Amino acid sequence: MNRTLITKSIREGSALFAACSLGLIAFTFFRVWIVGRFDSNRFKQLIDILPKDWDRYTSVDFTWLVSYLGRVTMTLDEPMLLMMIALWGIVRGSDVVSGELGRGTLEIVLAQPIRRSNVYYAHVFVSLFGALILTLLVWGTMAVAIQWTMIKESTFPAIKIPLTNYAIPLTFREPIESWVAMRDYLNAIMFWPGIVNLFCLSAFFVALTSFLSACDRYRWRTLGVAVGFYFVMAMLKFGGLATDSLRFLLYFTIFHLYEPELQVRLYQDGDASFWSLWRWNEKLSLYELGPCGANILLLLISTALIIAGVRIFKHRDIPAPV
Amino acid sequence: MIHTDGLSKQFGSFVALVPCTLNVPRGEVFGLLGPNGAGKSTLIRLLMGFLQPTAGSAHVNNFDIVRQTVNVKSSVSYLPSSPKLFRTMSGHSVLRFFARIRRDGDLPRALQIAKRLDLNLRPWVAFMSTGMRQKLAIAATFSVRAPLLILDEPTENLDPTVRRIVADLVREARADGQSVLFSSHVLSEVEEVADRVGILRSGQLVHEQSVSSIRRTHKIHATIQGSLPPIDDNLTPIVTIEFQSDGLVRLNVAGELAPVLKWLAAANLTDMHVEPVGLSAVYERFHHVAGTLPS
Repeated sequence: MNRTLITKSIREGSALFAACSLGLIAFTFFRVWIVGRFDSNRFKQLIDILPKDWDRYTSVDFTWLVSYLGRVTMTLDEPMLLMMIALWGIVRGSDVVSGELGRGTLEIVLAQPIRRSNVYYAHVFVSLFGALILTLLVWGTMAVAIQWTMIKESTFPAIKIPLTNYAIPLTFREPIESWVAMRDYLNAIMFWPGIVNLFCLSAFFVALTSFLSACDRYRWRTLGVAVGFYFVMAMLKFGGLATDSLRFLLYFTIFHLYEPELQVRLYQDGDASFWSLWRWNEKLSLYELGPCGANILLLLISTALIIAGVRIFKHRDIPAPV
Repeated sequence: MIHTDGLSKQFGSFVALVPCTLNVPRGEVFGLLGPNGAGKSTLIRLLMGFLQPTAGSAHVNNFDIVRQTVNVKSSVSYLPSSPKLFRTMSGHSVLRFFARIRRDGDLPRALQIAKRLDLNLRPWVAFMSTGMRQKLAIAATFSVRAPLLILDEPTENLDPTVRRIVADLVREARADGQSVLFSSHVLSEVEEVADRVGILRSGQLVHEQSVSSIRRTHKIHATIQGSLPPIDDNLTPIVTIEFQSDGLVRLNVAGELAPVLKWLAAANLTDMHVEPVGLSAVYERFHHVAGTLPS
């Protein structure tokens, strides 16, 4: 890969990277901090009154989801965070060919003694590296937020039974509010499976839009197709989870490969299926890829898209800049 | 330096370049002429590997333009028509980029040319005028001592002073042994710097001629009383005579003028004037000018 092209690509993406970094850091910190504002015990009462059907929209059970670990993990599934990660992938990926073509700078770059594949790989490499840094920033911010956040907990006063370890809570009395550090319950290491899954998804978006960009000459069209794909995939997942008869749709959406809560849950439980390619999902009654398999498949699709993009770019005509 | 053999390009049913066979020897400045849409840029873009040929083959510096694209580009320094440069870079950064991306890049030489063009390198490209951007691209292109320079409309948007400098740079490149493919609409410029010209019409290379032979072609207009003296055998191939009404005579001379004038000295001519034919007259033979039909 050409160092000058990599430097140029970093320079071109730096403003967007700075914006996405700031957005992700601020959002992640705020999201984790918010978790500490609400006592988990209150959610338990809420679960009891929710209809059972709500459970189908999550890959894990509600009781785990409302725990501190579950609620912090849900940060990785927030639309705001996903859109920011996808924004980086889609905007930088679309710039690889059709973006440079639109600005008219591709011609002058390709007039230099470098292979077209080098131009493509340099751009994709920087976009993937940017995606990696962004996901690590999310993780780092989660770690910092966990370290700093205090949780407000309310407990009932209790009477300890002499000579035993048992204590009887006095629920008729006013609860006592106390502050504990979130780090006493959570450790940032617990979230690594979700972070890996997030990176694999962002790599997919970079690869997909780079491929679309290699086929197209207009960036606005590349962006339109990529954003359209994002929403169709999201709808397929929603449809697949909502109705039993449409469950097969889950096999056609890329978002079914992105399940950070499930990945963190399985890892935390020490479940053997965490490392397997396939697993039986009892909740949805279907065979699906295991966490490891989902990540591998996302990376394989991304690699295939990058290779296909390079092949198309190498053999296509480069129209004159307008 | 450039050799094309039946090179052609078709976009669907539209033929952008009819099979074209062209040879540009090492050290020659070749002027490529033709109106918009004649196929000049298509030919250049094929040579640069931006377009895949529909048929035929081409070699630049003995490298195949399809299979050895990197070698071809190592042999070429290319100035596109209305060059688009990186808008968020300063002029200096752009020159540094081009100097670094090529092994034969030469930043001090690029800076020297920029200075010669009186170009301020501090502003971002986005804030440069069209002429400044053109100068920047010229500095980047001429800084490379590649065996071949391909210049597509190099003097577009430039003032007469800078046009003169560009012509000087082309002459210096030729003196250094570089070949130049010079595409332009400005006939006087091409005539000034080119050794040979090629004229394209509707995607077809319709004419090739050396500029020296064009320069040797003259028209002589005069009024004659009596008849012309017998013409020497050695002048017959280069002189054509047209008698017009009222004793007017026009001679087309495609060669050395001196022996013809010596021959005409014996004739009783008045109001004689000699005018060079020039490239524009050759060009007009193939393209519409001011509503006239091509001959």
